[in-house]
Amino acid sequence: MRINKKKFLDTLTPVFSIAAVFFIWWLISLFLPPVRLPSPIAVIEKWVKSVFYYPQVSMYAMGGRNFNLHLLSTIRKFFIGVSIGVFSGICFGLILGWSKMLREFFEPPLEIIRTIPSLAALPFFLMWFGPRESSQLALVSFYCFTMLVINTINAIKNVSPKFFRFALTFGATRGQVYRTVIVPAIIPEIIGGIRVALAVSWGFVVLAEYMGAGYGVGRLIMSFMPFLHTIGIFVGIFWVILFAFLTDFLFMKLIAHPLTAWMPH
Amino acid sequence: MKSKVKIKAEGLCKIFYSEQNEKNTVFKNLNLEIYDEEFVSFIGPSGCGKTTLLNIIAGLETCTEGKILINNQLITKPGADRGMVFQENAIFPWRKVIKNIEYGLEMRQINKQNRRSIAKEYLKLVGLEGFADYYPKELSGGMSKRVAIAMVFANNPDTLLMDEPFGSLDYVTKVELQKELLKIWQKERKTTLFVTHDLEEALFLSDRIFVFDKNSNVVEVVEVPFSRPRGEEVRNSKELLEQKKLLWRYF
Amino acid sequence: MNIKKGFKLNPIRILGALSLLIIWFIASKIINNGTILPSPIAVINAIPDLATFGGKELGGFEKPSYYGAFIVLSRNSLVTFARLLSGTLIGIFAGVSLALLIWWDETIRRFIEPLILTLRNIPPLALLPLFMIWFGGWELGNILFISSSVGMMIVINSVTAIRNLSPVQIRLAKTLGASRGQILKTVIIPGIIPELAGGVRVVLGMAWAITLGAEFLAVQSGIGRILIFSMNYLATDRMIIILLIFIIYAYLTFIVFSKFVNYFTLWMPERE
Repeated sequence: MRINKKKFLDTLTPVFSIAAVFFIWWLISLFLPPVRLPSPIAVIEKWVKSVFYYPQVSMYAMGGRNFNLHLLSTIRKFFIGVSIGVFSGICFGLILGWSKMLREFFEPPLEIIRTIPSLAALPFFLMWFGPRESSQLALVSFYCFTMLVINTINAIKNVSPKFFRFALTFGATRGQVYRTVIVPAIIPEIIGGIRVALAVSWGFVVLAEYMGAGYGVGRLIMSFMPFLHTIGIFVGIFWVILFAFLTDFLFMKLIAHPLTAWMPH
Repeated sequence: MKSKVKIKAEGLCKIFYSEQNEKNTVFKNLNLEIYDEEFVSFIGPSGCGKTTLLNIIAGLETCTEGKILINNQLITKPGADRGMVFQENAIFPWRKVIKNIEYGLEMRQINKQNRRSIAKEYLKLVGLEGFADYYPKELSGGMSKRVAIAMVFANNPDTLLMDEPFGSLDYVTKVELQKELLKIWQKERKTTLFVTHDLEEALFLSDRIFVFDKNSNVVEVVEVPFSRPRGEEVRNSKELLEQKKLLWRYF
Repeated sequence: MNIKKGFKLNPIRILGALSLLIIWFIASKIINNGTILPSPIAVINAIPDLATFGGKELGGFEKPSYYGAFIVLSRNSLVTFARLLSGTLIGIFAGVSLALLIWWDETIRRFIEPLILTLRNIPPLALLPLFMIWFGGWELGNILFISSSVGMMIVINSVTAIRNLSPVQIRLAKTLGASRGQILKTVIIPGIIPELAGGVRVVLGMAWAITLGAEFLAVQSGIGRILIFSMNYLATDRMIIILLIFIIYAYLTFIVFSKFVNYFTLWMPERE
């Protein structure tokens, strides 16, 4: 009987907590003007409408009768940017892991890039590529690239020497050891890095859209601001939160867990 | 009946430099000979360099001065002819058991079918039939050691190096694995170098025992008087106990 | 990543950094376009122009000068750092306290933990417009924003760190008769410092991003704002100055932080 009670509470309390948050939100919204804090019910209602018919989009922004065009634009920038950045970052990290010479050569610039906030690159991209969507994509790729290169190099350093010593006693060449020991061994750490990069990249793409032009959820939110269409801002942010959740969930389920099934927990 | 010399150390000298650039001499002038197909143990207190010697023979470390020869050729790097079982569990966690055992064969680019059948043979030999598709995380310490032994034997090295392989196991598992090791060794005789702290283990398994002191000198080479094949009765015999007492003098 | 070792300076690295400078110079001559890549000399010459940032109301000078630029940069750097540090410190304090509360009381854990796990996935940078609507350019609001994002990350980091503590030590303390409060003070808090230090490093990166993001969009002072200001004038040379300042500051925070951590973790056995 006790076990059931614990499990029951464990599944009930999360729901309760989140419901409580919405409830408190609703309470506070009664006392504040909708420009400051719209009621959660209104937000959800508008959220559903946002994929069908949302007049403010054509009124305040440009492009489309609803959010769809912009949602797709942001999603597209996110996925292309992340794919390019992550893939090239891992490859470059693997190359640097292999060649000591290249590693020493690239170490100073990498150290520098690692310590400065990636966001500082955005104004440069905006200036070089203009406020177009390419600068937004460039920021995401740049961030993912730098994160993954450093992540990969660290992961390689963290591989326990016992594994490659063992491999060598089977007569494995350096290349074989790299391929059959190092690469599988670093997968968990790289997956951790990708997961973080995914979450942060959503923030970056939206911020870049805040500051740039073109389509996208961020751009939409920015265009609502001068008109004080706060409820639309909430809807936009809800979409971003949903995307962040979904990508994390799908990433963990479809990629992370299968690839790390061998790990002891 | 004296067989030929398999491994020979001549004037071996090994110096380590620590991070603070302190000089730490492990071996000054080591000379020893190990014969073909004999089972040899190295015993001695912690830090006397037994593991270092094994690593040098494995090719994982180099000697500062002197020569180390196998089949009259200098040892310069690791190779499939010298298989090694470590004390720590080094089997690859990302590979299933059967693929772990196949590892050496994979490195030598033996084709898939042959690899699989050879690996299955050795899986059976170490008593892990049925565990082929398990991941190492699902294995106990003793089972992981068996996988490591299967891996090394499957690759058919000339020489077998074992660095306190049963050190981290409980007594019962240790005894079982010693039995299995001897069983496999009887079938496929290889020159074996076995590092251990356990006097009983050394006496039970080896033909000769090299006793090291804390200054890394060989103070005694003991010929183990028991005939082969050795059964469990040897382990509890009076002679073994006496030999153990003799060895104790050096500690 | 081994924080304890800091970083070593050796001739090869200095050469590597120097070669960057040389490559920069050559590249700028080849590209020959001051807006895309000004030469290092042009950048140095542009320093005085920073003195006019902000106009009279925000403390800018009327005429360009090196002295003026120095004052303007210092003042704005102080502002940015003040935001960053206060936000981060408050966030760390709040985050660790909350994590300890979660450990202390099971009921609190039941209610707060699921909340945190849901909230962790919200990208703080995306929330900037909300922050702008609610707080305008109000400094305290800015700091609250940074604190809450930092706090969120630190709570999760700390809770994991507490969970990763070896239960043996807690049991030992209990057998010695320690009360819960004493265990908290003498076992848990010192025990989580190493893992916390690693977490703070990561959090610092995010805190920088948020501070900068806010300066890009919402507030009117700080070196992030100077960066944007220069961007609007296509003054790449001034932007590069700010970038170099970032690099210096980043290294400074890294060194200071490493020394700080080293002091607190003297007892830790070297892990390699």
